[in-house]
Amino acid sequence: MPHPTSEAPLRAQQVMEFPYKHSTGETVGRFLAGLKEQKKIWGQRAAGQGVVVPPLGYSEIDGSDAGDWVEVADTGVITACAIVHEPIERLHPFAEPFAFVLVKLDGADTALAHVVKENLDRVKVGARVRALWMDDGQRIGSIRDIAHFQVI
Amino acid sequence: MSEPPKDPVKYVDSKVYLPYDYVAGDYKAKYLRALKDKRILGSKCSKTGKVFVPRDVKKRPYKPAN
Repeated sequence: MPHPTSEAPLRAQQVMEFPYKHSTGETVGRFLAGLKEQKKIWGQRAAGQGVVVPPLGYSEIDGSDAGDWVEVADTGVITACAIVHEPIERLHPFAEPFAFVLVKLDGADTALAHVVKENLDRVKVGARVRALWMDDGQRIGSIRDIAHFQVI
Repeated sequence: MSEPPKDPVKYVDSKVYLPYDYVAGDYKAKYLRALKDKRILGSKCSKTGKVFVPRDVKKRPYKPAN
């Protein structure tokens, strides 16, 4: 009996999907509720860190509980960036080239991870950006209630 | 307002998405190609004569059959 290796491999493109609900917890839950309901970005004071955005609920320096909530601006400065020239379908948030950025919002002392979609040639560390919000009724309590950041 | 809403968002809907390229092995490929021609192939054990459908992998004590 010959081994049937004369056959070409047979292939099939398949997709496995696991939908799930990511539990946000109290602190991030309130941060997201602020985006959705107030169209505001909130941080928290934490020991040794200043104003942390997005808030964690504790200090990363000494583990102590975070303090007061502080509203920060929806403008800020890029502290790190990575341009995605060839997005992968469904893995990345957009089909067109975009940039992942860390944005230190005005009034915050830590940076928020987000995206920039336009003027990618101007995406650089130090560039100023502004949040572009999803419209009222379209915000669902997700970090993507901020649609993307725009270079200003 | 000096703080965010008291009532937190409870969860965020998400989805793990795993596309992959499935490659049928030799025997499965042979079986699937035969299906295309409306033929069902099995694999006969050379020791017991038992016929496995769709097919059996080439594992001792079995050997592939036509």
